[in-house]
Amino acid sequence: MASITLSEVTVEFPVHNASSRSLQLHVFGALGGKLAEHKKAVVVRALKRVNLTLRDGDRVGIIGHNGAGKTTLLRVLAGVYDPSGGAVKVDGRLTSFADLTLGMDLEATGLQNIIFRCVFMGLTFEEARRLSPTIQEFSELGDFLQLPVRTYSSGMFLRLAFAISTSIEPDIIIMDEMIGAGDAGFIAKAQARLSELLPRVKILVLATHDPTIMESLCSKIVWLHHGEIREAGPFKEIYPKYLASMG
Amino acid sequence: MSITGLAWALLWKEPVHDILPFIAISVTVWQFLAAVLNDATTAFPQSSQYFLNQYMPASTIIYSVLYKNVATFLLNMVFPIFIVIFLGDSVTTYSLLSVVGLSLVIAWCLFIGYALAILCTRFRDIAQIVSTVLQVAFFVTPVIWKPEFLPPQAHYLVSYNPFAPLLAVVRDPLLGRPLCRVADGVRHSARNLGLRSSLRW
Repeated sequence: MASITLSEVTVEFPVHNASSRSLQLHVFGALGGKLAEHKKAVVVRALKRVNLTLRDGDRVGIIGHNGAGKTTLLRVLAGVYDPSGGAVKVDGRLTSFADLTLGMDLEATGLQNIIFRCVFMGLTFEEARRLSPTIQEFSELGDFLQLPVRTYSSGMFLRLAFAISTSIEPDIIIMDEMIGAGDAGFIAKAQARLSELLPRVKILVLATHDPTIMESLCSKIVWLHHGEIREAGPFKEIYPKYLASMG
Repeated sequence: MSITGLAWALLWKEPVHDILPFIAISVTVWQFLAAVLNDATTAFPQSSQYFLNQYMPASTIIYSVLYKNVATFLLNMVFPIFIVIFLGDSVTTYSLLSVVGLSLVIAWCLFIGYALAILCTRFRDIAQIVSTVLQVAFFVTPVIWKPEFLPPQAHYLVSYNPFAPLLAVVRDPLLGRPLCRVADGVRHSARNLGLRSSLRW
């Protein structure tokens, strides 16, 4: 039973420039004399009073203009940002696919990176070692796995990262702009893998601009506008309105 | 290290086997302290990719800074320990206190490093201030000179120096020097620990 509840969540970022980040300027400013203009920090309100409840079986796509707060919302869900107002409650094992290569060391071999990436996703070393053979097989990189990852092409590297990241089965998956990596053969395999993995995932939250992905994957669309939820509903209803407001 | 020891032995007319172990251990511990404090100042900005993409408790970064530097320290300590054992008969069971001292130093580094890392993320010029302070402190702390060399009116340099007891708790048990003069410093250190542990969250 996985669930996500956001109630009145507000996220604010104070933006500091070079002078407000300097302790010396703060101190000397207080002593009088205009040493430098250090203005108070500007506060950017990325999310304003967002209310969202997700249950088992929800597949949510988040759309919005650039800067609407999609990535911020995903980060709040992942537990990266503590909201400055409101509350977040997440039940269930959550994996964020925001950075598929998180934890990978360019100097280490492919085999070592499999272990590192798995551990960064929350597995123990034992579980990672047990998963390693299946991951090696899926990535189809063969003997290249013995070489340091810095020798791979970017396609191979992402292929490995994708293979590792999709080999675990969390309750909740958060994706920020789905990726496409690898050659045609691998893309087919990757899509098959995703369509096999996603039904087993209880909640999926996905931020994307691609309407085909949204239509095929998402049961519900949330439309973010300047940090607030403007509307939420099925794809067929929301997307035309979103397009109309963009065009 | 050995060259400094030999040069200083000539300068201060101290027997080499007396001052060389002193300098060897002090310099190694100092390098550890300086490395941890300097690494802590840039710990958070440099590791932003890790905790901006998925949840990671902030203290993990501090632990990794400590872990890396403790490993380097232990590696560097092989030679000074060798010198101590070889050049004197000062190693007794009293020397085991050195391990306790080391854990105190590591705990101090954890708390101060954590507080520093947080401060330095907000005020970016503190990193350079820390670096400069450490460079000055190297000369003002008994790293390459023994506290006995000081004239009485300068004893405050050691009594009020927060780095002096950190070095002393690791070095003195190994050299058979008594810790009682350091008692003030240790109390100061303990007070520091108490203060910092309330800051830590």
